[in-house]
Amino acid sequence: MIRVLFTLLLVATPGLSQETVRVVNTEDRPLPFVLFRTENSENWVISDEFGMTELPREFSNNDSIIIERLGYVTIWTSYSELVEHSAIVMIPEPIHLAAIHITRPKNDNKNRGNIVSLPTIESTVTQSYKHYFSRVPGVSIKSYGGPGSVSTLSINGGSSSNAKILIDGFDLTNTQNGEMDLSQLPLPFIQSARIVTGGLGLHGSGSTDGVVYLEPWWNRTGLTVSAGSYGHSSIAGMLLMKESKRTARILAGIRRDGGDFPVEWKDRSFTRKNNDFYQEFVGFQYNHLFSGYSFLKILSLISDQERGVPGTVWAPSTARRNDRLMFTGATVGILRERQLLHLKLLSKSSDEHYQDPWYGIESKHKIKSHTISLSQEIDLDWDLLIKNIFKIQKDELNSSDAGNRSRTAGSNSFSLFYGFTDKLSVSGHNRIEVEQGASPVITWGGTIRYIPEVLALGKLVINMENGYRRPSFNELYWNPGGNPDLLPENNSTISGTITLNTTGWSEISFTGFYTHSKNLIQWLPYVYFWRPVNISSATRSGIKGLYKWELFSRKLTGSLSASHIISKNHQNGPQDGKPLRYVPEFSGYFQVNLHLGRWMLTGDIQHTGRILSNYDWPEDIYLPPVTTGNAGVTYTKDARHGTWKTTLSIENLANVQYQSMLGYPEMGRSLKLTQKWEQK
Amino acid sequence: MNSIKNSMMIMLILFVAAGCSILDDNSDGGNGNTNNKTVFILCEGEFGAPNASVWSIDLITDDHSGPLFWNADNPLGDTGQSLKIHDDKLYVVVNNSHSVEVLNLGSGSLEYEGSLYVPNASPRYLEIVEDKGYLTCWGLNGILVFDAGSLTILDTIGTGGWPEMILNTRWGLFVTVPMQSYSDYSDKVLLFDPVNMNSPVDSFSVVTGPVSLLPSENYIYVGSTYYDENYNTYNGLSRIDPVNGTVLKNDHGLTFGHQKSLIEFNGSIYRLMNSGLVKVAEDLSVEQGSGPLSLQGGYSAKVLESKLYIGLTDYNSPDTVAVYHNNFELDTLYQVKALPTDFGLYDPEL
Repeated sequence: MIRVLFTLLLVATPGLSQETVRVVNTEDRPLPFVLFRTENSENWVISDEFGMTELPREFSNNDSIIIERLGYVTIWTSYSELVEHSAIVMIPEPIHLAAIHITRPKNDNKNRGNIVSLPTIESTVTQSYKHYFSRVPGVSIKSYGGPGSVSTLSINGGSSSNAKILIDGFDLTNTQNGEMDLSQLPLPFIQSARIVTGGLGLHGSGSTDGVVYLEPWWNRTGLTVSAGSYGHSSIAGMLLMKESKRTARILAGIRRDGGDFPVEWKDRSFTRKNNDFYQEFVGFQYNHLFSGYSFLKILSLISDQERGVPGTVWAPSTARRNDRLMFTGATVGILRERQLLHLKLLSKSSDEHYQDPWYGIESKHKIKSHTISLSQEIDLDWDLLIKNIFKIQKDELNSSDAGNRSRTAGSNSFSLFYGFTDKLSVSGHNRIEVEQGASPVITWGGTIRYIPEVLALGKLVINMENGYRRPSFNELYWNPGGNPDLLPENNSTISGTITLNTTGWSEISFTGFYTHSKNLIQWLPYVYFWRPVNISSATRSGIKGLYKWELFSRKLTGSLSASHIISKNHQNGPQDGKPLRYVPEFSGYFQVNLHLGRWMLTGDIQHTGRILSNYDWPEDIYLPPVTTGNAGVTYTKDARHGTWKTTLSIENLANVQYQSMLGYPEMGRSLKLTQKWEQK
Repeated sequence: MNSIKNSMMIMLILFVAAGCSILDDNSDGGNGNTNNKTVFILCEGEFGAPNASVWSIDLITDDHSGPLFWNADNPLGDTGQSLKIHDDKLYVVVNNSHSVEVLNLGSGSLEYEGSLYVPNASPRYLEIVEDKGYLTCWGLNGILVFDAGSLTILDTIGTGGWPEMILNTRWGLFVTVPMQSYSDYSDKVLLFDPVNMNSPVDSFSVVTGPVSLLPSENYIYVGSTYYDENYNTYNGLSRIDPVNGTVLKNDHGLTFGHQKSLIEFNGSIYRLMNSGLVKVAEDLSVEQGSGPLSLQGGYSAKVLESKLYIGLTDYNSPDTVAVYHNNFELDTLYQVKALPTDFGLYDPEL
């Protein structure tokens, strides 16, 4: 094998987060499962299915990093050089003519397209997922207020059931309600996130609007403690064990929030109570690199939550909810010269116990899911790749309110990628899913990527696909309100993203999208309960922009993003022509970070336009526009035994009273002090 | 035949109204004029949303106003349950906001006077006797007693279950108790002496799930509704003779479309159903199609000033209130917000 030093094609645009690197081949095709390792293989990491990875902290500036994938020329470089660039182009081996064309402008903004990569959670000085994801245009977090409330993520104004959340590639969607409650994922468990919109039909039901890839933590051995407003305290310990090509990480922690906070409702000011949240969690990771380019990855989490359910501001509740999320996922990857085999196993369970002593309500829900998927990726030619994924998933629900249900579904996805030139490539996919007692569902999609290199045009990605969403168990069977006659939701989307070449210190991208939904599933009030109904036709369209910059050797960084989404309900009836519920018409975000030696100062402002919360007459009910600000300061000090980092963060600086769900006020200004120690 | 004519009339009027907007849909949101006799209408709104609303009909000018006083920025609350007019004041019981909102009617227009907050109490119905308010509250398993002038809480009286309708009669305060708890039904109607409310002076066993009361000259009629675990609906009627303490019961069993409203109109007793009024026979049986009116979405009914007010709903705003003359001829249709549930008459001369 030819070992070539500096065969990197260094794409000069800085990354959206400095630790994130993306690997593509000369046809601009993402290369999954590329191995980044130190010379002695003590430290290593493998790129994900988008060819992206965060570089682990075990890599240090003095390390030589080897980047390998069978069939490609191995790259040797230094860590310090690697972090300066966001993208790496690997050249097929043996070098063939089509691959030699490596001349690209140094300021090329390649490889972003419809992927937004977020910085690590730690670097954003955030206290919540809501704040963390607010920097991505088109992404919104719906929460029921307070630290322990259920929080769900939606993309482009869609329902949270149409945004798939994967952790290290594992789908943790709760099939009882079709959503992922982010509050069940402890913040220390997550390192960073990337959001992909378009080209996602391979992920099946509930991925129409996008997929959020969460990267599990990769800290060294260390300890983090924090304390803050509204009775917040937390402690999390991380242990890193390494031996040759094996790495094990253990994470354990506790979080506690008193959660009571002052609110105003009509002419009254009072304390919103029963908002407490207590969380215990243990996470485990094991990564093993075998000889012959095979690897094993195991990821596991147990998180236990005890929380109050405060109810609406006008109808406070004394209900309690205890829930537990458990999952273990294993990935085995086998890399051959022109083939990648990839087996994933996932077992997850979720238990929930809800009690409302006032009304004498007690409900229990337990859902178990088992998934096996086998993926095979073959390079037929260096320009042509085919990929097949076969997956079986079984879900079993035992619920006091939705009954005992089970569902087994099998699917097969086929996709191909063809690079005509290094400037033009196309990909397409087709997926069929069969389920007991249901008609097969076939979805398809296609993507064109083009690099015009005309004027400032960097990269153009056009995507067209259809997707669907099966009704969840709750939507079908919840008593009262479940609607067994619900039809699956069908969505067709066309989107385009253009990335503009800039001067090397900034990055600009614009995305436009149009989604047409048939049989959109939406919960609407009916008599004394809510029930899901199919809305025969609905559309969403919008434009999103993202501008990021890094100046003075990254001492000053920041971003500006905005989205404008127009949604319409086309169901015949009184709602015809009105916006869909909970779709923010406009949202904007501005952030700036200043790095001054050991100090890092950060501040941001986010604005959300008015949101229709309920259809009504003679006027609909809207949540008013809201603008909030956040700030933080971090001081880092290297000592003999490790690195100490002290962070003070303030969320909702102006103490604005607002709601993201009608009747569920968010907390006012909150301060948090975090002290972190990490072993060198 | 009559009912077919009536329903065709309603359909025709609704059709014309939708097309030509002749339906009285004045929704100026004004504070209303209370110088004349006025009928107030309470609309529940949607459960879980703070969009309960109050509307008015001026019986002299026929002006129709609403939503009154409260709007989307200053909501009345979540799930309007019932209203009570007493001594120049309008009391609105808002179930899922756990409050009683009070408006003064005596100055010629509506003026907000205050609120009585009863956290977690799930208030249902209100009676006022000699300036004392008696508010049935599911969350308290009892009746909350408060001073109707100062809105200060005075006492709570246990009812051994979730109290629903309360009615002041010459025999005392009747209170229905449809539920013992969230999962257990009750068949009790309690009778209290307002002079000494410590414990009921009498208790009557009626058809399970008593939810509504209708006083007639010599009896108290009781409408009952209960459900099985699959939310199938069962209904029945009872008639209490307060003088000799006897109860006549008729459990209609599994039935569909019954509403809780009972009315006495033109000397007959009727129960409201989704599809119209059904006449109650002497043995308390009801016969589908026996009533003088056919409706779609009948939800609530009350007789005021010799006219019949019926709330019609499709569970979405706007809904309709239909007013009938005593010969069941349609008078006027009014557009209101979702789920018109209760009616009250204000007479400034009284």
